[in-house]
Amino acid sequence: MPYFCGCLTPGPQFKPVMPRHLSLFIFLFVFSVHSFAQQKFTISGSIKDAASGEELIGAVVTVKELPGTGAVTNAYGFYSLTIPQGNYTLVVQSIGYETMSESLQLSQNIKKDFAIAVKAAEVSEIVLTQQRRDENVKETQMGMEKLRVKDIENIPVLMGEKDVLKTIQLLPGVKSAGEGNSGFYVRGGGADQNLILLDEATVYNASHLLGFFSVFNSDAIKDVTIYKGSQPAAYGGRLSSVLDIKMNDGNDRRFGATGGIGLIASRLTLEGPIVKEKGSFIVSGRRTYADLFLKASRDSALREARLYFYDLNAKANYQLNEKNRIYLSGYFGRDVLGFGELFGFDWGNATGTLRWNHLFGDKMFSNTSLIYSNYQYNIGLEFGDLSGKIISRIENYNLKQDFQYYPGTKSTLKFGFNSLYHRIVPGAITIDQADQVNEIKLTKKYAWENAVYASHEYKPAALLGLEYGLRVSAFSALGPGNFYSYNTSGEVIDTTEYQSGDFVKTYIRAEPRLGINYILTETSSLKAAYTRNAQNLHLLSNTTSGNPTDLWIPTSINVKPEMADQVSLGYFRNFKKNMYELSTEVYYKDLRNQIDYKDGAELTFNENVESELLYGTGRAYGVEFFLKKTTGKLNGWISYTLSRVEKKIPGINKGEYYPAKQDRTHDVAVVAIYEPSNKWVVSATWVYYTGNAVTFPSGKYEVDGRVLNYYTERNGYRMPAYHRMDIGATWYAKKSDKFESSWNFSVYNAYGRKNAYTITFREDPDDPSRTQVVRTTLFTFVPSITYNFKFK
Amino acid sequence: MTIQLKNIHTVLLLAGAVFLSSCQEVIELDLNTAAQQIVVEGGISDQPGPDTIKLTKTVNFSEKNTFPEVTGAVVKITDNLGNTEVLNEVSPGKYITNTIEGVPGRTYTMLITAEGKEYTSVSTMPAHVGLDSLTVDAFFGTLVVIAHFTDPAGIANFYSLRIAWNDTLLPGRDFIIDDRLEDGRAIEQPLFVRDENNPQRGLASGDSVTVYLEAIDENVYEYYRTLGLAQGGNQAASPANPISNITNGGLGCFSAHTSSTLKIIIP
Repeated sequence: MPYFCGCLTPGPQFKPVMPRHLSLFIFLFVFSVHSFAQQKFTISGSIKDAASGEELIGAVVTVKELPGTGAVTNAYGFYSLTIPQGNYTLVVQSIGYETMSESLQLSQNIKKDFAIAVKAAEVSEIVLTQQRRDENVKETQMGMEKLRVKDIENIPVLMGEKDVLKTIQLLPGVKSAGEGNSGFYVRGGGADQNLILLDEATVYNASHLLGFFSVFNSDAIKDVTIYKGSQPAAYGGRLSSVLDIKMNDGNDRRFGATGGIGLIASRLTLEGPIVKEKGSFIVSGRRTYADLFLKASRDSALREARLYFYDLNAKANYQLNEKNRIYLSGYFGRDVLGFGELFGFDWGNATGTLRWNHLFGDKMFSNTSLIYSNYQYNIGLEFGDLSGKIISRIENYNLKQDFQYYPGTKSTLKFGFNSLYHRIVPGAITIDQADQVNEIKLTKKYAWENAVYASHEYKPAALLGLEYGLRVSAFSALGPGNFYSYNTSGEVIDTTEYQSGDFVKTYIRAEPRLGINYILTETSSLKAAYTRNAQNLHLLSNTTSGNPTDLWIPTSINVKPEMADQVSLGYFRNFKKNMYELSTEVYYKDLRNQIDYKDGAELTFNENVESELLYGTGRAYGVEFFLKKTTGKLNGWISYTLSRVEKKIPGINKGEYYPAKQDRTHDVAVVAIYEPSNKWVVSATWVYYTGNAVTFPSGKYEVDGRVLNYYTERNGYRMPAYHRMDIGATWYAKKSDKFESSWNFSVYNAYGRKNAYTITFREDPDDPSRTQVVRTTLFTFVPSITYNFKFK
Repeated sequence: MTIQLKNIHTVLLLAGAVFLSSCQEVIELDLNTAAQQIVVEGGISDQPGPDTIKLTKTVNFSEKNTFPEVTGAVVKITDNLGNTEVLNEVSPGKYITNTIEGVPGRTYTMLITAEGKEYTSVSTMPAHVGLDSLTVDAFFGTLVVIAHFTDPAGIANFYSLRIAWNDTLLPGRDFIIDDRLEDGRAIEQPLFVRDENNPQRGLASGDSVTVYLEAIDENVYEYYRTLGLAQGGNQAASPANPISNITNGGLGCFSAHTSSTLKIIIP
């Protein structure tokens, strides 16, 4: 695999894929390398929270004497700023923190770490982060939003379990997968087209308990960024979005405990220094306890039931010296459902990340990560004299190398590579009494996925920003195993057996990324972006809310890499000294090699599951409006999305365009947070959206004494429109240097709207000569209360 | 033992319902109308005839459950040995066989000409598999009849079991089996029975249960399986009509099957 990570000019392997852009690419790279050949010095270091020592992501260092010159800290709190010799005043800012400035004389390269303090009146600045007040206007990146966990604390949610995945659904272009669901769709993409990363490790199934809760315990999380448009070249593998979640590092100054007791779950987090100001750890756990109530039941059958989930997050880091730092983090979570000895079902994710930060001089930052991800489910069954087990698993081993190079204030270069080994156990049924029932073991799948990338963020002029890059991904389906070819009716026409290590098929895809920002005025800008993405893992799911047993399949000889080209345009405008931010984005996505299912597809325990699939194209387009108020006693936002997503797949709907199941025309969210005093914060959210596209019967008929639905087209109907208001209040009961506590009250669906979770069709129980339509509603008016505490 | 993963979602939903409140309400929904389509029900069995083919039509969802019969159709069944017969319409929409025999191993082709359209269907009668016995067992205090039969080894077999409870045939095709897990083995299939209109009412002492074991071909199995998917799961994201072996958009299924019957009185 020819990586070009070590050198700054791309190798000849780019020629066949992008001949037209190559000259521009080289020109800009060379240009940037030459742009710092003056008498300049570098200031570099890290920016931390003064109280906890947590590195701050996206904090900004600006130079008072050089307007428009600055640096932003990366994911590890590192910044590097190269400016001409002179006397300067550096200004350090991060939202929610006191601004700090420091004068210095620059006559050589210097190391400068900053520790900044949390603003006293922090609560009034909740809402989405935005590092520099006008960053949304000035940055080239579009289609991106950042959240800090502090920001989501006051937004009311179901059962009071604050949840990053539910908060991002209130952003334009991000849609909820359904009532109370933590699953989400971005700009028309399916649920499996989101890359969800926890400390760089893929999380394959981010939901607990039918999706009502996400696997992310917000106490363990530091920063959440969602890219819904132009994903940076460092990311790849999914078509729609990247949700990059970073775990807290832990307090390296003193020990602390944070926790909460809620209606359905309790949380506890412990953190502290390993060596003061050199290293820290954090351990965070959460568990639900609905099953403890079942134990108290009089019904012996209910007492035997098991129903709970838990999450464990742990992270440690240690700074070896000024140039080297290591991090080790991991997540383990499970849902457990069972019934005595008769039935046991558990599923969940496990991830582990080992990282090494290294500085090459003052301008080059390197991170090397070794990452492991796993999702699996186990089902244990006992039936009479028989007992057995069903298992399924997807896992990957990932080596990731990222370099960031800061040659001057006009340029940032990012490049690196990524090598992933995938192993999928689609399913195996083992029986303890193998002499009585046959076992089934589906062929395991192996794949090797490699990518190299480079991108350049560059400001050729004061009013113009560019970010362009290229990612080249190569996906190889590997042996051992049987690979099948199918005819149009899904019968196997050819079987080829491959040995371990054999390359069955390799797909190489070039994924260019381009972003342009043109600053119109001090407070407004126009942005444009183009992105291509390839996706080589595909989730087969034919239920509305997803299922823990949904199967991931890799690209193979039959399943081609899914591809998406997205073009977006945006207008960004701030008002009243950046108190209000307005953004409007339009996008169009062209989708290829999209997957849908044949009528009656058998997706579970099917060796020939690929024969149940149909492939075609798709298109998604829309416009998003986002207005937020970032400061003041009352803040919040309004988001509105008008969009459409359609698929065109031979074999479905006579080969004509039909709406994808996640298609929704209108989607509105209003979030308001009001802080009347330092003791109270009250909040409300309201959402409205058009019902999803759905298949309903148009007629009926009778066979074998039963009335059956007669369907005429796929996704030809709409669920009823959905709307809901949630309200919440937080009371900060105690606040001192040693201890803080607060009470959070919320009501989900405060006006009791009966939203349809499902709509079903059945025989009228009172009049068998009639059929009827039944709407199932899940949550109407669900109050909750949570107590949170913090020992510092 | 049959393991049905698709049921797990239902189990999860039920489990979730332990502490999630949910409510169901009948609503009015404006559904489209659909052009009427022919529905075929019936087939040919290895037991003494006559066998019946019933032809009806679809109606719009909002209408009453009165399904118009298709009268005056020509229904012709031919086997692969060249035996052929045009069925006799004995009552509106009901066509019966007279001479043609159901023999395992033979392939039957049905041709229907009705209201100016032609529909064909092909089904092969598999080898006869007989019921060995019926027993009664209790699961969690619920009485269950267990059907015992022996699967022929080395070939793919498909079965449908139907039940008459106190001599009333229960609707639907709830018990279908493929032998992937049990090829060549003694199969024990538990048959849970409950009154659809009164779920508390299950089997009780003194009830009679008649079990019909049908050996069916793969396409018919595929029809019954996709029928369950389409009708059973309200979580299915894209429900569809079951995969029928009738051409030209015809609904329902034509099944050449063997049949074996046993009856038991619950002690």
